[in-house]
Amino acid sequence: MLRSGRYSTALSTALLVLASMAMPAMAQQQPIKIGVAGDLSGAAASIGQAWADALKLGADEINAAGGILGRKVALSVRDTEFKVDVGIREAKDLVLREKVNFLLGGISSGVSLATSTSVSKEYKIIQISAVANTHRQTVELFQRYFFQVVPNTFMEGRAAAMVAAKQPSWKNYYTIGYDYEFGRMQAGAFVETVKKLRPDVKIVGQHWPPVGETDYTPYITSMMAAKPDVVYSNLFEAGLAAFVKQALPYGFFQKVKFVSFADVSSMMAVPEMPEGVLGYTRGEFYCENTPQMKKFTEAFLQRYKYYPVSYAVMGYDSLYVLKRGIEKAGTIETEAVLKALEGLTYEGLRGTFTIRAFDHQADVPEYVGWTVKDPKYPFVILKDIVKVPGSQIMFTEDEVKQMRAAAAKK
Amino acid sequence: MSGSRRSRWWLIALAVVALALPQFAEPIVVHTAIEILIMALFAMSFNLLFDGAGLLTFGHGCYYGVGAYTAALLMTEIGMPMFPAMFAAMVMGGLVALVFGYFCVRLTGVYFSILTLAFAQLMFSVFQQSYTLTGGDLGILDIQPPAFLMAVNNYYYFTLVVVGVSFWLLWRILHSPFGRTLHASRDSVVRTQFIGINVRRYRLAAFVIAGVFASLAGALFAPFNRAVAPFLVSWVKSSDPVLMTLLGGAATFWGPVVGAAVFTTLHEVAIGYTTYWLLLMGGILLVGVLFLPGGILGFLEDRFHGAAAARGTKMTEARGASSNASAD
Amino acid sequence: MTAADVLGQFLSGLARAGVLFLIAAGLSFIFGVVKIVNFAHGALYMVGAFLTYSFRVTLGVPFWASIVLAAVCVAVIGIGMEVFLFRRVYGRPVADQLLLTFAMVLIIHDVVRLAYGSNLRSVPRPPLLAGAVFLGDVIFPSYYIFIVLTGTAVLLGFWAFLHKTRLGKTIRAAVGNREMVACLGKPLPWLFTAAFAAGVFVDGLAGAIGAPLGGIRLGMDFDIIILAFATVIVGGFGSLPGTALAAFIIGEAYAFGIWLMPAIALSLPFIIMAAVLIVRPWGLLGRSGGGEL
Repeated sequence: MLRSGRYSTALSTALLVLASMAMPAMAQQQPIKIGVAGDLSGAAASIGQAWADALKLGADEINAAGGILGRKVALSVRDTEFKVDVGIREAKDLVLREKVNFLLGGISSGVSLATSTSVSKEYKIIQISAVANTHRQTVELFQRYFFQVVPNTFMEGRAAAMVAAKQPSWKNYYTIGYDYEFGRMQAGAFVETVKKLRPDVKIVGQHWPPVGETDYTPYITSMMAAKPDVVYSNLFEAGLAAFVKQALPYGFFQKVKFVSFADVSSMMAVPEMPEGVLGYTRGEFYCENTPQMKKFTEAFLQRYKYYPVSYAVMGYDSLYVLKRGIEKAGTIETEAVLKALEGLTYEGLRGTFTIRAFDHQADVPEYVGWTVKDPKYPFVILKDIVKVPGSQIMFTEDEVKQMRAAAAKK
Repeated sequence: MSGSRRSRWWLIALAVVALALPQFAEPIVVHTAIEILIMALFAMSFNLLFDGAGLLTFGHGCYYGVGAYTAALLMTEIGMPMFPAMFAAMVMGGLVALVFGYFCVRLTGVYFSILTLAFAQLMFSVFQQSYTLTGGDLGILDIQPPAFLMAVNNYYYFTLVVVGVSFWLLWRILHSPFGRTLHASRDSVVRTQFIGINVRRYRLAAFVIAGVFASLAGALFAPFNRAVAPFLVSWVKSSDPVLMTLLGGAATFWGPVVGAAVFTTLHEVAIGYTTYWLLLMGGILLVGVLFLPGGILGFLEDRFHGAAAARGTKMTEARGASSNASAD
Repeated sequence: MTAADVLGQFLSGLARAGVLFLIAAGLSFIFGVVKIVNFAHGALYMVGAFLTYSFRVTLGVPFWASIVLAAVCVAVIGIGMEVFLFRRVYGRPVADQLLLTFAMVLIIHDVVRLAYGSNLRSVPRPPLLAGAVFLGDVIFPSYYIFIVLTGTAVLLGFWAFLHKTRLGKTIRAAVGNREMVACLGKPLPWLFTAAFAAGVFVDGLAGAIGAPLGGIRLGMDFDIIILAFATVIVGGFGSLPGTALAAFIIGEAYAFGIWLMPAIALSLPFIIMAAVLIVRPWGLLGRSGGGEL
């Protein structure tokens, strides 16, 4: 007849021994920490939020399916406020204090470039950008821990220019672009390409409003005074909304042709967007009819109650790219994952792409089309879309080498 | 007497901790310590004007930014090594302070403060607009300190030495005849002028000195941060030394340092938990202004040194009376 | 470059000047009477804009009622600030007052962020004013005309209030000689509160009618306060006509600057401000004897 006391002591001791044997094993199941540093407030707030939402969706999906290499994914999300200094500080904090294994970001090209050179390079942490797309990240200011799954500013400007150049009556251009890294690089690429393809084209003026500007009227009136055929803009989101709203009473869109960013975030902010505008985007959900895209769109819509914009699409892709890189390397160790990502071919929501080894740029496409109202959606979408493949618009390896050499010489 | 002996012990204890810090602290702590040192120097230079000369400047970030950008540009564009670049940054900061200060010291009270603000904002818009010269909104990236200062511990010791020497210099300046004359002009302009002192010239000198030390702080920051951005020149950045000095206690020499340490540490801790940092800072400032007019050190002095506190309050009141008069 | 173009550019600057005038007038008035430099003025302007959004878009209140309600709410907040916070620091050094208002800037900013999030908001123009008026070749968006009219009305209203009403005359007397007014038995603290409320009401109104111009966002508080200071400095503290003139100059400098000198267009207000402070520190229409060493 065992006394209950002794029995329970024995049982609890046994349990304790078993538990302590299990604990080291459980300790090894530390989650993979991924730092998410992007602009969730400021001029690109809804862009950043859509991107972060897609990442959370992706992380939950991955965890539900068993994680990466059996380990859960833990996202650490920080708002870099569209400010370079905040970006550096938050990214540093993620790396030094939270000790993240990887970085995803940024949104603003300026902030992304800053975190790339000051944090990713400095502390040797892989950074993957799905939205910030200045080409300098992969060319002149390239550092080997940086990867990009979004078409860069050159690719984007070039694709838009290729379609614009096909319009025979479009001769005089006025550009309006934000006065920061992205705005300048992308408008520059557009101008360079359209002048090369159409030597008869003239740029009658260029405006560089500051990011976050809400009063575009002086820009509008001065552009109209110059009487261009086309106005090319890379304004986005709320800035674009203010511009369109202020331009409409002037009959702006009857007097000039407009080329604009047409991502869903921006279009949701501007329900008054006129039809017949030449729009460019990096891959909206309606651009591809693949089963993966449909599945993703439905999951996103159901969870967040708004349509996933291209930045969400690419964010989702970037997380899965990282996952594939880690799985291919078999470890989260940075150098191994880096090698695995170089040359990686992956199946994303927009198709199958490869990450080039020498500049870490994926050969992703740019979509150019014409705006049209659609009764299915509360925003304007594109029709007659031309999907310009990455290979047609990317820099060649020689061009990249040349540009890097020129920058190093300075 | 016992006050100064006690503060000497505090100083020694602080020095020991400061020297030993990298040995036992995590990299993030050393990083924060470097930031605190740089901010403390920035705030000290501000207080030379505020407590030293009775001049409240809301545009001190201008010189901090000029120092940071000068160092950054020289190091990245022409590859100048760090030490000459820092020296050049100080010279540049002093020159800009001389030009702006010449116009500022002709005014007093609120007008002085607002002109300093105007110049800072002017500088900010210049930096932000000149895309080709200063990189515009992006600023300057990829600033590389020399190899032996790349490691954070080494940079920490370097900063400690530079800032320590600067503190010693500022102490000497404040306790020199020049410094005492400045104090006199703060407490009563009329009386000081009466004994033949050209107050405007003394104020300009103080303005330039403050500008030089602020630009030194900026020049320390640029290679540490590996990047500079226009924000460093803005009036929002200019409010940092104001907040830090008032938080720590403007009437004491070490007040700005205490304020810088508390402010920076709070910030580092807060950004991990909340994004409503401005609310926290505003709340602290509110409480501080309403209930702790002497700042942290002022409050502590009140508690522990009765006689010194009475002296301190009288000085604050005298400054209050004189600055009230000049504001009208 | 035709006359029509010039006129068009001119009007776009005028609308901006109108909003700027309202804000700066409130700021100048408060400084003139209460002697407080209200850093939080930009923040309250922002609150006015966001409240207009809440009334108009979230609650569906008609446009005209929304702007009035928003301005009134801002005035109430201002009264609260004055009674509970600023009154405590009237006797204190100027630095303390500046810091208190600055603390309010930070607090209000984050409270707005808490309440509304970080996204930009848009307030639609009322259908009556959504179009444009055509005068030959020149196009005048109707809403801008509305802003200019409102600004003018406020200018005249303020002037009438200060020169024709009893309360207004008392306030002007208090500016000149506080002690005397107190000796005459006027309740000085409530006079200050009234003045503060008026200044802040106009501020909130500026935010309200400025909201449908473009977009409203966090950060408009920091951006506008500097311009407001510039306007008040250029015009002269305490001078209402000066503020109007300065707002006009700065608004047009922006409009024509963007057109003709884009590189320095955004720095122009500060260049003008610095120039005035150097040459004529009391402002274009202010009174001499203010703050010179």
